[in-house]
Amino acid sequence: MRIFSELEADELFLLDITQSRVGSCIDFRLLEAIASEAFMPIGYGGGVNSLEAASRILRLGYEKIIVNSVVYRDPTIISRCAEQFGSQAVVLSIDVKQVGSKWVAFSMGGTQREEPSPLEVIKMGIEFGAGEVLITSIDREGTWTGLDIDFCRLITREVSVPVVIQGGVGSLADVRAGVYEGGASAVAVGSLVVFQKENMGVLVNHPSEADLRGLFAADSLWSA
Amino acid sequence: MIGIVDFGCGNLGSVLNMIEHLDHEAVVTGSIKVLERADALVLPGVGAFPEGMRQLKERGLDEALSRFVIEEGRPILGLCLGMQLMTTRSDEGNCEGLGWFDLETQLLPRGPETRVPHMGWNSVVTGRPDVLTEGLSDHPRFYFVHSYAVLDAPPDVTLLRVQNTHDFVAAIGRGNIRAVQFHPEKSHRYGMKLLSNFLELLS
Repeated sequence: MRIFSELEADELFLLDITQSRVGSCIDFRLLEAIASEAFMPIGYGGGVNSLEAASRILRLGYEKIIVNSVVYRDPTIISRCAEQFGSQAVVLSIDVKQVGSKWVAFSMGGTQREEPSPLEVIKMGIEFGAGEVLITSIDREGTWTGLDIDFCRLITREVSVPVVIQGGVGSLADVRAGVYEGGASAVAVGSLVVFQKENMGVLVNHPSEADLRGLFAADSLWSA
Repeated sequence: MIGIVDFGCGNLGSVLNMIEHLDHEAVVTGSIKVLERADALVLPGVGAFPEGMRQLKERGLDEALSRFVIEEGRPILGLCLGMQLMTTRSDEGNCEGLGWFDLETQLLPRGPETRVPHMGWNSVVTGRPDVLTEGLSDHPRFYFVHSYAVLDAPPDVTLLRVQNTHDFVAAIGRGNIRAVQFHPEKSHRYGMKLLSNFLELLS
């Protein structure tokens, strides 16, 4: 967290993808320590399945809570959190894999296949009050082969809340494609900023402001 | 020593951390006795205006802070709700504020391009020159989270404005009293520069 703060990441999402499946307790003390190192807005997701947990996390200094698996069992968690903290603090996170020509939603850290289509889940989440959607192509994560632009466009065409896309970014050009071709409001990156290059060692990094400014048209994004 | 005022409204960890990162000693406290020994004050705040005023009054901080700031002239920096509390009143709860600035806090107008609450990074433009805003980069940006704001202020107190899809006053200042609508503690390099400018006042 401290490194990304120093590297001036604009926002950071902390996602514990084993939490729901394993069912252990959220380590609030650790989350608090992490929050105090953040000099940028942060969101937390991972086993947030109650209003109390959400409230506690937000009070530790997180700007947003991120929900995924719980939504398939009880979508009212979204409305309850949105009513209390505002839609802008509630992010619906959905993991998808491409299966043939369709996309399928998965929960529990990518282990459980879900019935409703990703678009159905997203629309429902927004109806319940989610203010932002994070879509992750879990089959592309870590592959450095580019974002799923087709899926991204499918979603951004249909919804009016900000959509953040994740999974497969291998270069800054991929980031740009996510926004300009996919219609995403933002792109989330994982491997790109943790590893030196594909299949190479760990090197926590982040594009400079100059890099990012050159990537996007002058004012449109920076004012958003 | 910087006194970060704790009146039960908001998470102060990041504010403390950023100030300490800038090599300044700071303490988070709601105690008037401790704040009395501070060379400068930071009034942060997150949440609703009426609740903020209620908490300040309950702890006698409204009077104490007015004494430190207005009578004794100590430098103070208000952040987010902290800025709003310094105005005369807010639309939120139709509630009276500290009145250190003859300004009003109003609900941000909603529009097809303007989402409320205003949450996210946004660019600012400079108003009148001030130590607080000196040397901010060519394209300064800060992180905002709010539904209310000071929509208008005279040029002599306006330090920064947001002037794009949203249109409101982002920073105000008069003498020893300054305040910003955004969260410098969440605006990495830009926030650090701003806080660092504020801390310069003490040397």
